[in-house]
Amino acid sequence: MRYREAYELVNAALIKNVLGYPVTDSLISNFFDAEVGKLGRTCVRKKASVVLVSSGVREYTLTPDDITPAVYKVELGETLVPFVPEASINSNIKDTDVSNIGFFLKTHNINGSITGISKADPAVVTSTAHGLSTDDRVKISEVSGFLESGDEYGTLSTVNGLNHSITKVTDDTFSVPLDSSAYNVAYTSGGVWTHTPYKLHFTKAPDSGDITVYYYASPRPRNSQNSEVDLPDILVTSAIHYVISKLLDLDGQLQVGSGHRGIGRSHEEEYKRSHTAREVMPDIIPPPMADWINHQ
Amino acid sequence: MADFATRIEDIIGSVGDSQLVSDSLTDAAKNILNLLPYQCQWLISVETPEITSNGYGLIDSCRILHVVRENGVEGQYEVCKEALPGFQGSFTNINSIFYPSGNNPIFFRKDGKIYVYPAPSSTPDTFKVSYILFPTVLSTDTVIRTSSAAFTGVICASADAVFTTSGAHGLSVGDSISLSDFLQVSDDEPYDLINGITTQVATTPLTTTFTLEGINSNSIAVDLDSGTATRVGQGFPSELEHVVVLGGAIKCRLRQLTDKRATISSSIPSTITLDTAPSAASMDTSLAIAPSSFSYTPPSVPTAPGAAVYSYTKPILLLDGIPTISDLDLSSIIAPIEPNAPVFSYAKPTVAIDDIPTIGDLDLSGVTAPVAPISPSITYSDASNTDGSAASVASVIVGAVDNITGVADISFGPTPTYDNLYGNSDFDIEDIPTINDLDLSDITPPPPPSAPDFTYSDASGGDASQTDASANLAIGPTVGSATAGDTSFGSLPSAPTYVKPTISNDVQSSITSAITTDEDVELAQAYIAQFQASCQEYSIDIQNAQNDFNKDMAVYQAELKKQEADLREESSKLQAQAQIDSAIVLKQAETDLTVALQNAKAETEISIRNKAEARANDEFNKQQTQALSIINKGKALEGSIQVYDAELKKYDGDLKSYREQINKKVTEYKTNEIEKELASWERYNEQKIKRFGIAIQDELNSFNKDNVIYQAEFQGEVEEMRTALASAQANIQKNIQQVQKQADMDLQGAIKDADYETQVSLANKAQDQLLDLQNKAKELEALIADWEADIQKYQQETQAYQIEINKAVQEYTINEIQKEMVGWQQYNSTKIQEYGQDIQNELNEYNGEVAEYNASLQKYSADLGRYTAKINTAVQEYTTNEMQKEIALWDGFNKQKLQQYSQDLQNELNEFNQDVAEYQANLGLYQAELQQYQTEIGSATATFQVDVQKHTSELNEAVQLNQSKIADYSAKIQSWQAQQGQYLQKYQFEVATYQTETAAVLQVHATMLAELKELREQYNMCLQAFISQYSQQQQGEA
Repeated sequence: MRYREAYELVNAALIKNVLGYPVTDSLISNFFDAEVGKLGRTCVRKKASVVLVSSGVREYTLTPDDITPAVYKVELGETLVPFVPEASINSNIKDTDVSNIGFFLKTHNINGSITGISKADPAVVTSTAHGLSTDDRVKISEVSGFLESGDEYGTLSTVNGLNHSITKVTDDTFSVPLDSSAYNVAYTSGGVWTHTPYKLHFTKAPDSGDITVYYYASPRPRNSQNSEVDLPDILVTSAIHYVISKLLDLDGQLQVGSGHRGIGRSHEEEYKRSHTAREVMPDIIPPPMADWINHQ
Repeated sequence: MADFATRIEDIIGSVGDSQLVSDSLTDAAKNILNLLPYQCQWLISVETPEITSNGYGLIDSCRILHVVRENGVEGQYEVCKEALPGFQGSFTNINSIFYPSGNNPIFFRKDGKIYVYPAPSSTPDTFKVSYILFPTVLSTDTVIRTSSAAFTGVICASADAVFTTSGAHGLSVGDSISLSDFLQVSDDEPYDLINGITTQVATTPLTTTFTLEGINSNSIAVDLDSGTATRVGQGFPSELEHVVVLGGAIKCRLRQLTDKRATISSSIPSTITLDTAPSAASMDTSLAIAPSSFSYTPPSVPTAPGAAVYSYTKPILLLDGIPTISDLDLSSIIAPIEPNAPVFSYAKPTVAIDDIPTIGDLDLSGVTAPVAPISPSITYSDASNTDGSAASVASVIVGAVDNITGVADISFGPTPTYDNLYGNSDFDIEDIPTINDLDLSDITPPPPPSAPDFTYSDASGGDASQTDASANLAIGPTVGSATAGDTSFGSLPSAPTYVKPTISNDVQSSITSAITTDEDVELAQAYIAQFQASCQEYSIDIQNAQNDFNKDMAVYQAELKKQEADLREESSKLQAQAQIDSAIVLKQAETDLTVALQNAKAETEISIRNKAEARANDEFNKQQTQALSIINKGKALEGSIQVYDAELKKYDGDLKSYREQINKKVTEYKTNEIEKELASWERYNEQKIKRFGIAIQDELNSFNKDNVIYQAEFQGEVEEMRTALASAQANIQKNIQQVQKQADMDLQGAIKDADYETQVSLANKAQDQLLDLQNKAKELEALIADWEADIQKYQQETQAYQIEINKAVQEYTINEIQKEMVGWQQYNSTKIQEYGQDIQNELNEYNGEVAEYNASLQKYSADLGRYTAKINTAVQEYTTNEMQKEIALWDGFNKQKLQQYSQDLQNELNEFNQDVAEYQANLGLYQAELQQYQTEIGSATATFQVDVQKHTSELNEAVQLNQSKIADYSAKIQSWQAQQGQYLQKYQFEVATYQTETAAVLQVHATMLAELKELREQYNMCLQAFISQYSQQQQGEA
């Protein structure tokens, strides 16, 4: 099912329940996309892997779009790298003094200020010494101006709030895949970008070779409303009902919303029952314990 | 089929109002369309053309079914959800979560217009509205036409009769069009030639133009505009026409019921109108109030002479301030300057002992030890004669002559040397002893006593201040004003009024409501009965009111009489009270005046006496205090001087002790330190010098001794050398002889062995060798001779050297060492003596300073004594001449002032007495005024009594007049009551008639209501049947 179809179903379901606020695509996508992500991570638990090449450092950025912190296995050549908690690692110890290699995952929060965006295809963002690399995903916010038609009421640009996979142009500029050449309103001021990559850390720099990281992937992100929802159909239904329940709850129609929530939950549980796996939920149980459970 | 009016009247009978029928049918059709489920809406719904901008206006009478908008792709319409217009801001705010997208557009209604967001524009962003226009059904219609589209602002050109719409009309050929509201362009007048016509579309040349059947250029004479072209159709389901008729019938029936009730309301008896009860008789109450002249105004009480008349003006005693006694000026008496404490620093004399004299080294460089002659090295080379060689003649080998030995071995032994003892550490002169500084640190010079601060603080007499004597004299008595008692009377009682009873008209409105609104006849009858009872009660109330009025009037008259009697009695009491009050006031005034006079006199005298005594005491005390202060200051100064004198004496003693300590310390220092160290140093160095002299002498002796030995050894060695030389000479001779002999032998052998030339050569060789040997021998002899000469010369030089050494040592000893040391000793001895002399001088100087300081102290002490004497003298003179004089002057002057003050007091007292006399005179006048007052009171009282009598007679007249009015009023009341009784009977009759008529109408009304109910049921049943039938049909089709 495509996202647009799902949105239409939500709309259709709410026709009879006259809501006190307009149900727009922005509103639906906010709730629906979040539900898709949650169901994907908790129910589907799609497995994926990425191969990194050891470069003699301890830290590696995980760049796949569907990366999640639920890494369940790391292979270094023919060696299985165990998970170690970050709290037990002293990063000041030299590699030569570390006997055994282990890994842990860490979310980094990198951000910078935007001082300009050009009207071009692609749009080029100016941020002094941004430190980003090509294919890094950044989220832009607080940009004023930079409007498509200029008739919009409001000053914040549509470039805000989206995740952009950037291409590094120079140390001070990067481009985002956005054709803004026909924009009527130029960038005026403000703007910050945030880059929150997951990074794989080792207790010592791994030897040369391939590092294969296995993780539970999130569903494919939505590129447009025509994108296919990366969930089994039964879970798409579940997501639709969850969204309907939340929209009804917002309007105060708690009883009706509760009914939809129940339907969504029953679909979710039905899927879990039919796809029972001896794997624990990675979002609840941390990797070492999950590893232990998986190997019982 | 008959028209709708006929069909309705067949059901409910004649309606008689075609407009009512049309309105009812239109309303019914509208209600039915609103109730139609959405499955049936398509039958009559229409859709607007594509709209490209917001604010699309619809005609009022329509129902919007849905709004769709293109989603950015031409022809792809998305349903717009209806939202509240309050969100309009969010719909246009791109940052809002409610900002709609093309895939999920919204619309809202505002001010009769439709707005769609995202905002529409040309394709592919247009929107369309689907709606139902409610039909207008006329009573004369036989079918219901749905007006499915209305185009406003249509224009029509007379030239070609083409109608043009403002937007795409979407009409098709054959569509029915109803025209209305067309105006002539020329004068804006309605063009009724086509208004109201319904016809079909003939052609649609453009999407915005159409032509109509039957309307051509001939039909339209002028250009038209502002017209409305409404597309009408047959789409209204025929099955529902009967339901519309039933709905119209119901609405008409409701109107009939209203009309029927209206017939009832027309016969409702008019409200009973009762006459206004006669107004209460206008009583003349003007005389019931006491006339203004009736008030009793007592004459004003004469004002008692006030106390201000004899106010005692307190004389003010302004004593001069304490005489400004100039400060005791002691500036001319200069306090002796205390001698500066001498700085008894003992300047330690210094002695710079010269360094030990630099005794030049014993310079023997000019005395050169003779160099021992070197033994001549006499080398004898074997003589060889190569010249006389002959091949056949062997070389004549002259035997080697032994070297002269023994000569070179002669050594003269070491030359005796004189050991220069200068620089020998054993004889180093010790450094000058370090004589410690004279340490007087443990002797602390006595600190000179701090000179007391002899500043004399002038005794100030500013403390003596005198509060002005004042006497708080008693103020004259205040004579209270005489009061004339309460002269006002209570108001007369108000005249009774006739209280008109009232009848409630509420019953009448209740009756009307029961009949017209509630349609309840029984309730109306009950209200009528209640009204009749009210009328009876009203009649009774009128009678009771009249009785109450008569009763109140009797009470009022009695009260008037009582007031009259009270007035007379009060007047008498008032007059008597006025006389009593006047007498009391006068008496009290006299008494108060006497007491006040006595108090004033007594208090004034006491006050004056007290003030004078206090003043005298104060002056005395001040003088005493000031004198004591001066004496105390003098004593304090003398004490300070004595203390300082004692401190000076003590300081003198301390200085003596200090001087003794210094002397002792210096003596000890000289004895123990300087002399001891110097003596020790002298002794020590003297011994060293002596030992040095001895050592020099010993060394000289040792040198001489060694020199003798050396000379002896030298002689021995010379002899040995001579012997060795002689021996060597002998050996040489011997060798020469041996050589000569050998040479002869060799010559002989050679001669024998050689030819002639060889012999010659040999002979030459031998000759040469012999000559050489002879020459060598001669050289040797010369050398020996030279050597011997050298030896002799050396001996001579050695002797001369010895002499020079002895001479240099002697000269050095005498000239250098002894001379320098003696000079140094002499010089330093002088310095030491000078040093001791300096010490002594310093000590003498110190003693002189101490003595001088003692002298200055004695002088200072003497100065102090003189200073003290001067101070005492100055203080005494100041006390005698200045202060006492000033005080005496001040005292004398103030005595005058005091006398003046006493005189003023007396004068004031006199004036006071005079004032009192005047006051008494005034009091007499006051008494006269009081008598006048009494007279006036009598007169006023008489006037008052006359007024009271007059008022009483007026009051009687008023009472009689009012009684007459009351009688008239009673007659009017009786007449009014009779009239009202007639009205009531008439009204009761009308009510009865109304009850009869209402009952008949209500019966008909009830029948009509029952029919209405039946009609409603039938209407609902038919509508429901249609809906059910249509639903079943839909399901069947599905």
